Amino acid sequence: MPENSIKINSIGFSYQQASDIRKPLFCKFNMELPASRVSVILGPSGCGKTTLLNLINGLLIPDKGEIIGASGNTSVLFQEPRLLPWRTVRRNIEIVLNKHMGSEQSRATAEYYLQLVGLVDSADFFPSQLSGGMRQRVAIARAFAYPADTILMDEPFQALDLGLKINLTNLFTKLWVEDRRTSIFVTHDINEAILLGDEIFVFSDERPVQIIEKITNPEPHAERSLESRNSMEIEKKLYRLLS
Amino acid sequence: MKRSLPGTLLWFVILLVVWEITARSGLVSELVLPSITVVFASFGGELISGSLLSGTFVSLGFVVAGILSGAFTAFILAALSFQFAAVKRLSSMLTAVLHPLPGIAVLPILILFFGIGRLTLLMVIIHSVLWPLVVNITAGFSSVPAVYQKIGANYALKSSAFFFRIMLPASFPHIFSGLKTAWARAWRAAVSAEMIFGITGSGGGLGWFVFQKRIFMDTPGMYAGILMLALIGLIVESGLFHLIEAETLKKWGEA
Repeated sequence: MPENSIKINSIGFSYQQASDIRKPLFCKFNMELPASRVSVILGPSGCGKTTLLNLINGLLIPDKGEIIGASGNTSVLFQEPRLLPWRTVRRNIEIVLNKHMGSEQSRATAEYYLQLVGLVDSADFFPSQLSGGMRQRVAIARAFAYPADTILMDEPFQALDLGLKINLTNLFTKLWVEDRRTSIFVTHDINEAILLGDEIFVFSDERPVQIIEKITNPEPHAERSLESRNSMEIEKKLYRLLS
Repeated sequence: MKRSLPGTLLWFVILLVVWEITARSGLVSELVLPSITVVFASFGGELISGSLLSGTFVSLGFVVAGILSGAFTAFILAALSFQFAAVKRLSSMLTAVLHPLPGIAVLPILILFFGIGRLTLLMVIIHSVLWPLVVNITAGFSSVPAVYQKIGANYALKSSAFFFRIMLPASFPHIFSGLKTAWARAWRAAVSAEMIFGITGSGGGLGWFVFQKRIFMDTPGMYAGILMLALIGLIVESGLFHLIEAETLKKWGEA
């Protein structure tokens, strides 16, 4: 697993649409995302969180500055599961592995992650035969199975009901502690930020984007709960910053 | 709409009964409408003699060869259209002009170029299947959701893996629809052309079988050939295509 953090050095970025006369989204923006930690980017909708993920992922290129450490080797978990409907659960995971390992190892890796997310019995089902929560579990398994140094998550639990959200948050923690991969989690949900984030970066609502606060959560993942004194204090702070 | 098999069978039986009553009433000459039992007897006799089956295999052979060649050409044209705007414009122009032309309408031109023979028959079938396939495959490639393209980019799939594992299956609903149209057009074109050509090479197809029976006023044999044409159509359209649909699109939640 990577030892180096991801460094965002003085980047500038705007979408350059002729009709867009607003200020650029990012201007001389700096940020350091520590290795082997879960960094949460918290901020209101439209503040540039997803754009930053795409810049780290290499799908967008900054106009100025540089991003060091992501090296294009990232795995992405989206808001919707984005499974391929014509491939079974198992083969949806294997498709991203085949380029990196032999077919036997792909199969074993897929099996391992299916076991971790509790879907071994559904391995030969098609996505249309699964519930929404099961599909997102497959997507989580696929994101972790892909041999990337960094996992990027773009509000993956946003469209789910509360029970499922808690369930999948716990599942993410269970998978993450297995190899403690550098992870960046974008959300506008304060509770998700508290439960998952080791570092919480709060983004401003104005252009260009600023980090208005960085909060470190000292509590180990396994002991985190929304009722703990530590979580409540962070929650209070985050409410104050975002309201 | 859900089809009820007993209901369909009931109508089929009613049709046969009406046929039999009309044939036995003497109102219509048996040279025009023979008894259904005579038709079935002729069907059985032609099956045993092998002439009906050999005709069926000849026709199906032409259709399969035509669909395979047409599909191969259509894939190349659609892939080039997807990549190059100039080819897309050429393909759109050719499709607009040639797609509405029935296979039989281009037969005189093909005869001038290729004479009367297997090649011309094959070309008629290729013409019948090529354009609906080009239209559907092109539409399929263009309608692959951006989300699937992003999956390919996120997981850094090679371009060949992206084409075969994402583009092709994602376009499958359109391709399948094109294949259904292609089959229907190819089957009709093959039978019609056989009726015009007669025997090409070693033996005639089902179209020729029906035509020949009419010439010799073997009306039960003619009906037996038409029955076989309908049966093949039924097996492919309601059997084979339904099976493929059940195993693919329905399982994928796209039917």
